[in-house]
Amino acid sequence: MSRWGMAVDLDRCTACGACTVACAQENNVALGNPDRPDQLIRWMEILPAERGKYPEVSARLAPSPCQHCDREPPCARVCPVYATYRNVEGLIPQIYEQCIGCRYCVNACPYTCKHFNWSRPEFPAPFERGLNPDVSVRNAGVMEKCNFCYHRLQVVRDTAAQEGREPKLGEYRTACQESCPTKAIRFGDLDGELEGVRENERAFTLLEDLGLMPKVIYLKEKTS
Amino acid sequence: MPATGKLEPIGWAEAFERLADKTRGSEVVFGAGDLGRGERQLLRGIAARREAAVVDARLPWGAAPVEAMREMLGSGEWRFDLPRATFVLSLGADWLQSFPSPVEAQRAFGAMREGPRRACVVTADARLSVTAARSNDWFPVARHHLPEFALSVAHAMVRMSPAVAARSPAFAALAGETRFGATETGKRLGIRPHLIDWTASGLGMGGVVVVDGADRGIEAAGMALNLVAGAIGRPGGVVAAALPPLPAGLGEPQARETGEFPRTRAAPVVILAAANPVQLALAGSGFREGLARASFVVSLSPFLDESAERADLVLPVSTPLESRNLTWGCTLDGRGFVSAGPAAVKPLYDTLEWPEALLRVGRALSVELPWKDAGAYFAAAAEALSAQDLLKKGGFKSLEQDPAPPSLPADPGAWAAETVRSALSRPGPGAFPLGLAVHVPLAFLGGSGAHLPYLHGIAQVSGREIWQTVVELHPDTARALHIPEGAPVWVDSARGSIQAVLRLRQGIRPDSAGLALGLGRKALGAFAAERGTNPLDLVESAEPAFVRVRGAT
Repeated sequence: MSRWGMAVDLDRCTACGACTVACAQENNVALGNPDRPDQLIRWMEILPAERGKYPEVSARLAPSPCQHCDREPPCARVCPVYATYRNVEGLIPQIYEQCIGCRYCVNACPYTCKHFNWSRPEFPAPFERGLNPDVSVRNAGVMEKCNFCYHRLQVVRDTAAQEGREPKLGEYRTACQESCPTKAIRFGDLDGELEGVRENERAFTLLEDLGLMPKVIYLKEKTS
Repeated sequence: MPATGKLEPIGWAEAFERLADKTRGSEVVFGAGDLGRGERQLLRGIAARREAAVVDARLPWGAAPVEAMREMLGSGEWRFDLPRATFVLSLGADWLQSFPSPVEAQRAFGAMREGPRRACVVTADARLSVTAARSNDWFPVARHHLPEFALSVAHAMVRMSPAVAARSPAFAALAGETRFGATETGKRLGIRPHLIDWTASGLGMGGVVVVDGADRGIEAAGMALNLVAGAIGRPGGVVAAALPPLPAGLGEPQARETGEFPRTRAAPVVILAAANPVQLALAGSGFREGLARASFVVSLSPFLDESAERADLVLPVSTPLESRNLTWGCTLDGRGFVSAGPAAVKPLYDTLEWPEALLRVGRALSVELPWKDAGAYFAAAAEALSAQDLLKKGGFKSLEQDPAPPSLPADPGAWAAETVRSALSRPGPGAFPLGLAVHVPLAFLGGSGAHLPYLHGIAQVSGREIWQTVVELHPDTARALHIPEGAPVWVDSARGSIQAVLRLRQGIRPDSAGLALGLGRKALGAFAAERGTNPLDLVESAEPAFVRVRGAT
């Protein structure tokens, strides 16, 4: 059984934002309302973090999707209707039809990766032409978040089944990974393509002390 | 401005008849914005045959330093060979956010971080830009002090290895003045002197200086540093572009582009091609005044932008996805390429492909080019570039010719020395105490992408504000002004005032203010219009400007 995860090499990331835009386009994320910028939904964000005091200042710019916690994901623990859970491959899906919009998961997620649809997303013409038919458009009152482009895994499996073969290594790719011009984002099976990434001397995860074992693993900048 | 104040649809034939009628016997001025290489050649060819001026209406931030390249190296067709660089000094250039080819810039950065070679990147700028954040080190230097910083680095290089002065005696002589020693300069600029020496060592061991075309003084200083460092013509330095031969009919005559709107014309007909001077022209270019006195304004644009809204005639062109594409150029390592492909989607509206629109404009101006329509143009150009298959199926191919060996004048740095000397005598801050650090987020492509909602979320890389203009200040500066973070403020310059929201950050010099360009649109729909303000209202030119910030409550 695969255990899907992501490795983000911060030494290569240029914070260009291609991953953010590709993710939003791929997953039919709401366009946003300029009059309510506080309600903006982005499944993948570049987290800015400035460190130090002038003039000794540096900045870490880290692409941040749902961290897909491997150990007791807080969002799944508090969901009263099992709309979010850890599946057997370690992914944390969100079942929109089951979500009652209580927003417990928003409060529970320490990574602020869960987003609530305060209103029904609108895709005025010609934006509606860009909707991805493989992904549902969420309604008002439900939560949403990154699911590692799970629909792409289904397409890979269907294609492989039709061709009478097993899915190939590296065949399941996320939109953010595909769009990254510096190849800073790698996605795959933590026991396959990404084997050993946790043991990399530069590897770390966000809020490690919480012990949630996120499956998004960052490789910190090299020093030279 | 349209006579009725409203746009009315007319047919293509009538549109070009009107254009022919209005331009008969009139002076014509073209404004050329972000056009593809072939389309630009077409437009300049039409202008040359019609003896019309062409004003370059592109933003200078992130543009190649073509003026310095032309003056010093004889041609604007040189590239910063970033993929092969081992040491890069970004002199006020946020090249990861604004660059002639942004995708190439990101890929070059990836290549620099690949394998054991691992290039060292340092950035000297007033704010911790994205490039600075991703650099090995950031040297906080005010924009108006960057030429001085470059001279100090050159001073250290000459001191370390006197032989390098022979590469540009004039610039080395200026840099050799005692006042540009590392200790004195470091004290004046507020940076540690050993960083100047360290930068000089890095450049001396095969580095390259990246500058953009925004400020003549910085551009000249950066290119002169490249000369002194021996970077010109060296792999990993500044390499000559090996461009494919021009397809027949696109060569001479070609009108030369100017940065300023011709001031002598009384009431010209202005034809804008992908140009939006109402929103994006710098005050010093005279473009807005030129538009105001134009007898007739034509806008060729895929979108109803601010300039198109005020035009007498709008000729809607297809977006790149709706039209065939054929372009050629040169990658950062100097190799030529051809890229072509069919239209990805059918046009949504009754629009023309760029070559078709330009050929018809030419015909309306009584200029005949060798092609009867866009189809003939694409076929001829694809044949000349051996790209017929690419045009049918889509793709990219590299060309295998070597860059022409550069032949440089006796002292290519003489122009730079003169230009930098004059930059040093520019006035500093007076009543407006903060140096303005304008930056151009990659997301907005100089403002032309502000109507695309997904891009707003990635425009403020160092913060999370969205759909509003943010002015960045150091916390000490804000404290002295008694303005809290998030407060609405006025930013004033000698030229004008805009509103913004205050963001505090450690990554900016206390004597500077940072503003992003791209908002403050008046058109382009609900996601762009009336969102934020336009920092271009504050500046006369791309040269250093100074502002003050005050509370808006």
